[in-house]
Amino acid sequence: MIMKKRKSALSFALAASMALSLLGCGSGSTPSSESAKDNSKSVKELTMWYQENRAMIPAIEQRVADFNKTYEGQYHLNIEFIPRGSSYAYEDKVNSAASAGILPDLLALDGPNLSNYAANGIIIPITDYISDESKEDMLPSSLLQNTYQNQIYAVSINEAVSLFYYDKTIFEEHGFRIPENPDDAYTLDEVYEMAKEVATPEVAGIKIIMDKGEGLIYGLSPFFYSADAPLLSEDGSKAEGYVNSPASVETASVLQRFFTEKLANIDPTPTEYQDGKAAMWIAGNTGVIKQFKDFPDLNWGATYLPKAGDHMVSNCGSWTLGISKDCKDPDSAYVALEFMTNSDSTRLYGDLGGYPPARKSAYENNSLWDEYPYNMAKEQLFEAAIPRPKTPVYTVLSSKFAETMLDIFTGSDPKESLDALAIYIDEEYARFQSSMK
Amino acid sequence: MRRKQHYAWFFIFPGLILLLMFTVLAAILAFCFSFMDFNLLRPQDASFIGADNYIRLFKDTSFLKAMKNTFYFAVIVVPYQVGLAFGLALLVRENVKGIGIFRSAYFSPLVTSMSVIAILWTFIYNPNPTQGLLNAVFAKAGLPSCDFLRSADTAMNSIIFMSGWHGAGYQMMILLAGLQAIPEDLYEAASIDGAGAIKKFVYITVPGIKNVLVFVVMMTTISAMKLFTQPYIMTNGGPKESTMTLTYYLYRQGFQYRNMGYASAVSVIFFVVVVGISTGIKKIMKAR
Repeated sequence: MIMKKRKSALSFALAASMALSLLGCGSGSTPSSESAKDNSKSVKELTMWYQENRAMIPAIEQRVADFNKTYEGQYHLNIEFIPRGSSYAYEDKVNSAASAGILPDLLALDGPNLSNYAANGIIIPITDYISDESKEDMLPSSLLQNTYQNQIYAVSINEAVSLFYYDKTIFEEHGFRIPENPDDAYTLDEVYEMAKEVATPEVAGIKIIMDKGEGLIYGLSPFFYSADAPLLSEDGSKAEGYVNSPASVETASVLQRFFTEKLANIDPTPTEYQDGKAAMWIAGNTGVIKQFKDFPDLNWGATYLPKAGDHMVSNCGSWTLGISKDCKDPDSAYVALEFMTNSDSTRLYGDLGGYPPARKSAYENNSLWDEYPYNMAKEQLFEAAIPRPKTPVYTVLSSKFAETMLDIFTGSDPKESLDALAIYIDEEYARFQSSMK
Repeated sequence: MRRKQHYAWFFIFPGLILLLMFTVLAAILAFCFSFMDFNLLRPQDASFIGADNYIRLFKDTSFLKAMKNTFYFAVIVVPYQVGLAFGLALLVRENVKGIGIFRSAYFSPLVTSMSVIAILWTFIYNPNPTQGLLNAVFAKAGLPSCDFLRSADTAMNSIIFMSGWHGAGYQMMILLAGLQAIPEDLYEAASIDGAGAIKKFVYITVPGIKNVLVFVVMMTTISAMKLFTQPYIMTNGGPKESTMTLTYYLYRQGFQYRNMGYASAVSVIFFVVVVGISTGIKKIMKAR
């Protein structure tokens, strides 16, 4: 009898531990600060998510350590790096965490997603926390990106700019001119002619695709803006007549030629340019410059982005830091947010990660951004940058735009494809509007 | 006896809870959500909209394309994969020396996860002959290069080819077990009666393995209907939505576009289709 009782107790314990371990799986990965709070009553635990960006991780880790040292005994910031993959894995994770109510206190997000996150209440407005001095110091492009309906929702971690990289050896062999200033930038047609001249079966003329997600709208939107073909109306509410305007269709056709004539690969390897398998690289960001040293055979050069119309336009906008709706103590979270995005931080992200700082003061007494090729990035950012469209349906726009451009690059008719895109985006916007009522 | 029942409940309790939570409850919720305008990010604002999602679905060309693509995939991949598996099973059936190596070799693709396989095949299918293995072989043989995943005409067939290659080893193992369960005596008796190899195959092997075959066809069909990883990793559903499948469309609407209500409607249709197909297959196979 005793044996039996023991046995049943044992089986109960087993079943209970199984059930508990399963429940534990759920709460163990919960990044909310609640569970951590119990560990120590005096130290406030804060959590933050950031994308797994190889170039930026050392700098971010250093600033997290600095914060924890500065506020020792008061706050402790825990950071989790989440892979983004080659498309939208980070955003998928945020979506599901948002609906489950388990977002971290501090949520890093890619800038153009801000309107969408703000409109859906994933991040909270932080205008009241930000001092005039701090606001004054932000780069105009960053401030614009971080504002939705007159409220500031996030502070930029860093900025980003694409440059045009080329293989110096090949360019010297062919005697191509190198633009000296933005007005002198290559035209897309010129780039096409150069690509045609240098492309061989082994070496692609140019690498255009950086990834098949956000990278497409980030990398390609400058050409559309340069051709006076904004992707959406200024208030972000209309795509018809914009993304499928004649100028837009023309730009898409010009880009299409690179692929249909096999001057650019539709499936480039991540380091196609660095490996010497592409003579030019049209997208990317300044973070890659630091990584060029890993490729000793690469004889690289950089210049301004090409233009599709008569003036050069630069892309901009990068990761920014907000406070999530699930944060229990926004006052404390802001202390960490302020620290992680202050002038010293954003400067360090530039020094170590190679991304342009998001604050004006970070450029003062900072020789890096006056040196080649960073000076061109700075010039583009300060003088020619246009952020990606601001719309609450940005997530749909980004992925549909990527899909449409890939279709065009693999031979679809540009006009037809862009018409379909315009209809899709407008329908999505209408649905969004009606669901907000 | 009662005590024994008591134990039985006790042991199935953890499994039952999981099943209820993640299958039954999830299915009921999906059914309810399919009648709602439900943004994943704003669950508090979800509202009842009747059959609007379903009406929209049947006008949605992307959904209809996804449905067509999914059926196309299943119709082609099932006979191809099962046929391949059956062929392999017949090949590795004999207990000759070293046959284990072949059995493991055919089974080995399955050991690696589909995500890894899909990425590898993206390299193999790369349209550039200097980067893609298959196109490099074509170039050496003097054949023109093929765009594989990057052309709407070939993308789905490329996925079918690699999916069958990946999955056939598993069905081979099941069919092999079925083949080995057929008593040797039957073949001996048939030989004495003068039956040739073909007759033995038609009158002994096929009837002997029928039940296993029904199972294999059904499982392959259901898993074919669930095609997701390959388009997700290899093509993002393109080009021109030629590899958009029901589950990928469901994921995209639900998690990327956050239209949970609409995605739930897709999932309900998907459920009905899969249940319909499996009962259909069962009936046809039984009738024979």
